[in-house]
Amino acid sequence: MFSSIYIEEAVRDSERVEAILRRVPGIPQIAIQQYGEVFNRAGQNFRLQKQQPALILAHKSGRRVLPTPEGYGFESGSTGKGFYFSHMLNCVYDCRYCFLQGMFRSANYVLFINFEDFEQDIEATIAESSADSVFYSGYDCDSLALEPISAFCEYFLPCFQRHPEHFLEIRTKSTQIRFLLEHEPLANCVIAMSFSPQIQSERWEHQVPSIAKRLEALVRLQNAGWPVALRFEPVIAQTNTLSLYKELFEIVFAQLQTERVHSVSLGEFRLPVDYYKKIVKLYPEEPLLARETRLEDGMISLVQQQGSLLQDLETMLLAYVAPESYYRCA
Amino acid sequence: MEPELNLVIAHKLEAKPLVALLDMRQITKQPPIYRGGGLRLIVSGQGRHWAQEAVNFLAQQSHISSVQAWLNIGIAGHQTLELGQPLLANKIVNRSSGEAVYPAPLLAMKQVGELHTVDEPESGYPQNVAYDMEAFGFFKAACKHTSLELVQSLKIISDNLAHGADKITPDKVLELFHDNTDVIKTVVADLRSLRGRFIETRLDTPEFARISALVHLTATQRVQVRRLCQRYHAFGIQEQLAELLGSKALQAVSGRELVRSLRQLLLELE
Repeated sequence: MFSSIYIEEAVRDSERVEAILRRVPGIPQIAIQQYGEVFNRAGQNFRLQKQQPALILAHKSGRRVLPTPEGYGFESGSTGKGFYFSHMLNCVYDCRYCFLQGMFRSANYVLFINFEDFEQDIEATIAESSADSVFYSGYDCDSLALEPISAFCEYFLPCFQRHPEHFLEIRTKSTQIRFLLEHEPLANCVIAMSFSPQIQSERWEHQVPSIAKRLEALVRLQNAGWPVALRFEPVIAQTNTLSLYKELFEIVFAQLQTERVHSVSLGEFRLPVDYYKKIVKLYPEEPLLARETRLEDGMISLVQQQGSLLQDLETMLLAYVAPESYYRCA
Repeated sequence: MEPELNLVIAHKLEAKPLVALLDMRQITKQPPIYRGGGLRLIVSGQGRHWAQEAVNFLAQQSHISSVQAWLNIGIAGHQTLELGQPLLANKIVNRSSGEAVYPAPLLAMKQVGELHTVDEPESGYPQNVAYDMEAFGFFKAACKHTSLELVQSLKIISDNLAHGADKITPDKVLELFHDNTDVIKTVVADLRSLRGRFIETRLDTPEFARISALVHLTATQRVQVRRLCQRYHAFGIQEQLAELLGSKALQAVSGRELVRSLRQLLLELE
């Protein structure tokens, strides 16, 4: 599962680290001072490391809860604000369109184990916020994929259980839902699953569970009473995009109780230009990255993407969901 | 031809079995350098300073765009590991400064561990780690010349608390290396394979090589043309690229015109 486990000496004796190590026995352990000396060093190759990533157990200092970029999530249009927190850096999946490949120098996974500090910061943020604020996990990682090891949900759900007026969005492509199914559902904790059309998923979403399995997990969660959400991101244009999404929407909405879906979003494929350049260097042979692009305000998008594609998809989507539960991710 | 992998070895006695095992021949006497089968071996002398010098010497002998892997092999002491046990370093500490470096754990070898590079031979083995005199200098220097995943240090335990370094004999060193032939071959092969995967993303297309030889390109145009050629390959339309290049009298085309033509055709075909 991991090639090695790096452990910051300051957290080595914590109960959480001990528990994590018990869950992944037999993996070489390496003591480090600070995660940055492995994760942030120059001269690394993300692509090579992605073949066999290591796990880094570390302490997160500094700001742990940050405001989301404008238009990031479903808090837009409500009175609440959006925040995100990253208890983990990097994702166990290997999606070729993912910005993480360009953001981090290393493909190793960093798991910050001082959950109590994150919780304290979330509590402080809640205390200063109006109701309806949304806390997103899964911005720099997949929140559920490592649940059997990290026990992230197990720790953070009670925090949001105490604050039903605020939301937690767990964004994921994972089917690791056992803990959630064993837990009483929380109306303010939304499990948001990302989907791309079948052909695109097969081409670009390496190691990600199939659409069928993700959908099955979402149905089970919905039947158990959990609010579920759908994230159709990133939309990547190709010649038959509309028909691909038509098929995807038909499959997805045929299985879910549509009226009970918490929210649905669309977001186009866009990357900060610096990240894009790094990813191109890592995967120069990737057709997706060879396509004609356009640079606007420091962001790269596909030229073919321009025009009415998102509007057309919105029209298709609104045949299934109410307008108030839809938003376009900026 | 540039080597794929450089071996940095402290002593001639350690180099001798490797030269035989890897079928290399000596090409210079001072410093002692051996080559063969895509490999290059240098005898650095004892100590991290000389290991560093040896790396820098080989790097200077190489073309700047060449991508090479680096492997330090040698004997080491250890508090508890048995003699003859191999160990691939996953952490290397410079004991005199306390600084640590971390070779990437990407090779399949299971026997991994911490290695302390010391300035004087260690006979007390105070910690349960391996002790050598070169790896830290080697690793720091080699990482300046390649991606750090391609730099590794393999040690064979030659002494421990029960069998001190004073008991090491030339015959014993040969025996230790002989007993680890398979391990050494595997690490060399794995590192070469890793380098192969690394350079796949760095290789220029044949079309770019041809253009570079025929058309004067500015630095910016070189970057543009290199990427345009890669994009043709990414789409699997390199035949159309070859056709385009074949139809032009390349010598008469300016860099700017070439970039424009390549871009135009790509837009039409994409």
